[in-house]
Order: sequence, then structure tokens, then C-alpha cells
Amino acid sequence: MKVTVRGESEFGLPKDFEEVELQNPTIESIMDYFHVDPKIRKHLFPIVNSRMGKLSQELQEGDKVILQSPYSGG
Amino acid sequence: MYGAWGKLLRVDLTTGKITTEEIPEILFKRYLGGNTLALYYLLREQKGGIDPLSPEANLIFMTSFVTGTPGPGLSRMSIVGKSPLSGGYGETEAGGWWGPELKFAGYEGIILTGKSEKPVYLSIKDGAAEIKSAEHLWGEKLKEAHDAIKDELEDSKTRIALIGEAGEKMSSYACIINELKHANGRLGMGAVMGSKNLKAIAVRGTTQKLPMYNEERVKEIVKDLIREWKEIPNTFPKYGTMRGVRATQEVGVFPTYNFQHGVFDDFENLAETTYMETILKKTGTCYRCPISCKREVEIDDGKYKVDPAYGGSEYETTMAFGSCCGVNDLKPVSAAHQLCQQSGMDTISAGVTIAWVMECFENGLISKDQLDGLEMNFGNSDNMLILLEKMCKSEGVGAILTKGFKTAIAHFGEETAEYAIQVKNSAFPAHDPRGKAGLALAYALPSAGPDHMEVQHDHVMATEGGAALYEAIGINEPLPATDLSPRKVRNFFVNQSLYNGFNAIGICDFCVRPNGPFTISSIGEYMQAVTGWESASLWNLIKIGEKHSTMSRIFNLREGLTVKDDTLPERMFTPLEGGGPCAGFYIDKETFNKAIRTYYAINLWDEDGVPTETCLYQNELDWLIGEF
Repeated sequence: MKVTVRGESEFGLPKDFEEVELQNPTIESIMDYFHVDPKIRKHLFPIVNSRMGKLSQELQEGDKVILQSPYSGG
Repeated sequence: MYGAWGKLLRVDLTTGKITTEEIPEILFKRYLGGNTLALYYLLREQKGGIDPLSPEANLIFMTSFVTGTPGPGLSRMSIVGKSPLSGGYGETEAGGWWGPELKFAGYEGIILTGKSEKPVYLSIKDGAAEIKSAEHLWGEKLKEAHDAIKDELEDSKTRIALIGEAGEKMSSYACIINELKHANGRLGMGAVMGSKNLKAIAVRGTTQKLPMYNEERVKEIVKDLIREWKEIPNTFPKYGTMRGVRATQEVGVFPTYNFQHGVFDDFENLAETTYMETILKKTGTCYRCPISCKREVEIDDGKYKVDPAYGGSEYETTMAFGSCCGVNDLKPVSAAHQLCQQSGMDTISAGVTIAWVMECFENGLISKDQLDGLEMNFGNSDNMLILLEKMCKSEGVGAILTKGFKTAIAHFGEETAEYAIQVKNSAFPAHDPRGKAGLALAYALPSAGPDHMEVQHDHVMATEGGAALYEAIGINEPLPATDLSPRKVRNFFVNQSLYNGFNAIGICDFCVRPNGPFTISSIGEYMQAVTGWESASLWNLIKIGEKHSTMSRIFNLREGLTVKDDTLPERMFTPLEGGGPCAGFYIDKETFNKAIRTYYAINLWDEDGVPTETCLYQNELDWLIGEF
């Protein structure tokens, strides 16, 4: 299945949307694909097709995924 | 004592009398320092009902026993008093260098009373304090006054906290700024300082070394924390708070067009990458902070001239003069930031007020004639800057706007009230709570008005990793960002107590995980290594944070604020418009009201938010029985 992904390049994610093809795409498999450091994974917040997502979420063909480290502050 | 001198400076500006007083060790153990110790003195010494701009009003600057020690981010100081903006409790924090230098100069805090006959500044050097004439500085922009004081004192390492024209003219949006960049921004504390004819406080400590109980252990803790922190990928040092633009846009809570929308089409023009590529000159930092999140910008393109001496706009300012006003260009945003710094004005209050004006103008509720001839459509950055300058100088319509929303609404008409995005007369900060339900509580409940630094934010707490950082204070699971259940309220209460505790010891929130080196549990260990006190524990920090909520509540009750003031603007109860993941989200009023009541109950306050006697005994505040 193909999904498109973007996130913070400092975490190994593509800065602009990049299409990836994965067997059974989950948020976890996306992070595996981009070799996201295990120390940061549980801090990332997924937004899937412009809706709030969950790390445990299973994805569908064509899903657009943003993985971000949430911001709090001034 | 270790870490603390136990010294308070009292300055009566009417008589010119300066005295030094002991702060007993027991007060540090009961209140820690910072906001809570300052509030202790305020409650004891200032009666309810006092005009905040009168000589009877106190203005208190306070640090803590860890300020100026080697730990990262222990640079902050609190300024506390009665707010001329809200009429209630005023508290504002800032980092930078001033707080540690006050410690090196030999004091934890300063209490100012009275009013000088003529403009003055206070100079404190190595324990000796002196009142000096500031007549030649009154009316000067911040940098000119700042440089002049350093020249007069012949010591470039002097650290100076100043007010600008906004404070001199007692604008309710006036702030106090140290080292030209670090603002004690909210609630008009600059006006209180200006009402006393006090231009600045200059501090310098050349010889003092802070004694620590176990200095070697302190250094070991710091070294380990920083080493472990550097092993975790982190974008905050690189982008500072400017990473907030993209992050809040992506989750759909980036306040746009006066909080009508949660996404801004042109957000890339304001985002961290554009900032770095176009206007950033260099980064800066606070005392002993390894993050360096401060920005310094420089612009000189013929139309805009921005001096890096004033730093650069942070995320809040970028929202306030950017998306909130429909402005899609960092140059006028930076120019607005500079205007505010030069005159000592709170950027959040000023920008969100201008956004209100824009929406009212576009809806035909405020006319061009009422705005001194200005057409104030969203996106009109030129007129935004003209109006802002009027506000900074308290001229024309600007003089009305800087008195706060209540005054402005009374002037322009009640029909403008629904567009005012404020609580307790104080403007909302840069996160729409319709997508972050915990922030709905952080805006409605605090005695000092809406505060985005009251708690950790919902999207962090919605991740497994984020929630896990708070296990040490009993938060055991992530909760969805829009959850406003009793469990979220309980987590909010615990988190708020922690953050109040942070302000009591003067630690920068950014220096705690996920952004910075301190873990929650290491804070107690660090405090104990500095002081040798068993009471300097994480548990006690949380309890004192709870205590602070009740103390500040009592202050507000004495000033006539009630349960009716713990609310949100109507817009928050209606669906968020525009696109983005939070489009259509709103705060359910019934759930919100239930959450407020739950919060009161957790605090042991009654249904009207009045602390019970049980609450006062629980918090060792029985000395306040009968006082409200």
C-alpha cells in the first residue's frame, strides 16, 4: 500500500510529503522505514488525512500522514 | 542556609528609605520562592481594594534558592502585584540574566512601595542599594535608557529591568523588560512600576558566590542531565519557539483572524524555516541554558529597520501580529515586536487587541473615523503598525485600546464584546483551546488570567512519551487532546501545581523534558543537593504549587473577582471555522462548566470557587481564615 508521509527532517522524516510503499502500513512501520530514533517515537503525534490520529492506527491506501513532535509554549 | 541568602530588599519610593530584611528559612520551606513567596508577602501586606496604580500598591520581584545555581534554566524571576488590567492577581515571569544577577548582588527579592516624586531608578550592587535620578531617562526608548544606565554605572555586566513609554504612561499592557529581550509581559506590571515613577532596577553582583550544600553533587546532576538530554533528538534548540507556527498549524489550533480559524493559509511565510532563511541573525540564551532558544533578528530593507539588540519575535508574538491579524510577512511582525520592546508593551495583549479591532472594523462595528482615520482590515500590516505605535504612545485611539478590552468595549459599544477573545480582561495567548481542551481550563481558571504556560499542553500529554514524562507526579496515561473529562481535570490540577511550583523556584519550563535537560524527578534531587533540605522535594514543590492556586484565588476574591470570571469567550463554545484537523471543534458548555466545578472540588473549594477552611488547613494557610 502507498501512503504519503512528512515530518521533522531532524528525526529522519521527509520535510515534504513523500510517497512510500509498505506491506501493512502502520505508523510504527512508517517510523521503521525512516529509521526514526526509538527515543523520540513515543513523543510523536500523528495527523492522518488532516484529522488527529493515534500511533496504534492502521493506515489505508492513499493516507496522508504527518508525524510531529507537539509544541507547547510561548 | 544554602542556595539562599535569606535577604529581602524593601524600598519605599515615597520616603526613599531602603532596608534589608531577613527571609526566614521557614518561609522558603513553606513557599519556596518566586511567585508563591512573593504572593505570601503581597497577601500579608496589601489590603484588598487598593488602586494598583497608587502608592499603596506593592510591586514585588522574587527569585528562589536555586536561582543562579548551575542547573539549566534556573534564570527566571517572578513579578507580582495587583494587575491594573484585570483588577486581580498579577503575576508574570521572565528569564534572561536579571534574576541570577539579583542573587549575586545579595538578595532573593525586592518589595517596592510608595511613589517617588520624580522619576528614578534603583541600583543594587554587591548588597548596597541606591536610588538615582532617572529624569533624563524618562521618555527614552528602552535601548537608549538601558545603555545610558550601564554607562552611568560604569559596569557593562550590570543587568537592567526597565519600563518604556507604555509603563511611564501606565498603559494596562505595559511590561517590564530585562536586557532588552526578556519580558515580564502580561497583566500590566510595567504600569505599576511606572505609577511609582520607577524607570529601572539595575543589579550587579561582582563577588558573591552562591553557597551550595553539596556543590559536587549539584555539578554531577547537571552533567548527567545534559549528557542524557543530548542523546535524544530535539528540534527546539534549532528553531526555538518558532517551531510552534508549523506545529500548531498542523494540528489546526493556530489562531487566525482573531481566533476565527485554526489554520492560516500563508503560515509558511511565518514558519521557522522562513524565519531562519530571511531574518534570523543569531540565537541567544538565558543564564546557564544549553538550549539557546532566543532569536535575534535584523532587517534593514528600506521599509523596515529592526535592531537585533531587541531580540526577535517568539511564537506568541508571531501569532499575535501575524496570523491573528491576517498578516503573512515576518518583516512587519518583527517591526511590531520591536515597537513593543522599545516602549515596553506586551505583544500578546497588543496584537490580539488589534485583531479584535480588525474583526470589528470588517463587521462595521467600528468605523474608520473612530480609529483616527485608519482602515483596519485583516492583513493591513502598515495600518497595524500605525495603530500599534499609537497604543505604545497612548495617543489617540491607542490610549483607549491599551486600557484593555473592558474599556475599549465600553467606548466602541457592547456589540463589539462578542469578538473580544479574553478572560479577566487579558487577551488569549497563541493556542486555540477548542483543539486543546486542557488549555480551556488554563485560560479560564488561573487567577492571573489566561496562561499558555500554566500546564503542559494537551498534544504532548496525548502521546505515550509525553504522558510518561509526568509519571513522577502521578500522570499514568495519555489522554486525547480534546478530552475534558474529570480525569483530564484531575491531570490538569496536578500539572498546574507542578508548573506553579516551577514558577516558585524560577525554572524555565523549556528546560524540563520534553524540550530541556531536567526530568521531573531530578528537580527534587537537584533542590536537595543545593539546599540540604528534606523539604526541597518534588512532593513539596507540587504541594506548594497547589497552595499557590488557593492563595491567588483568595487574592482575587478579596478584589471582587468571582466564579463568573472563570469562563471563556462565547466563540470558544462555537465551532472552529476554516480548515485543519480541529475544524468544527468546540468546547461543550455543559462539559466545561462541569470541569470547572470538578476543579473547584479537587482544590477543596466550594461550588463558587471559594476555598473552604479544610482547604486552608490542608495547605497550611490557616492564617488566611477570615481574611476574605
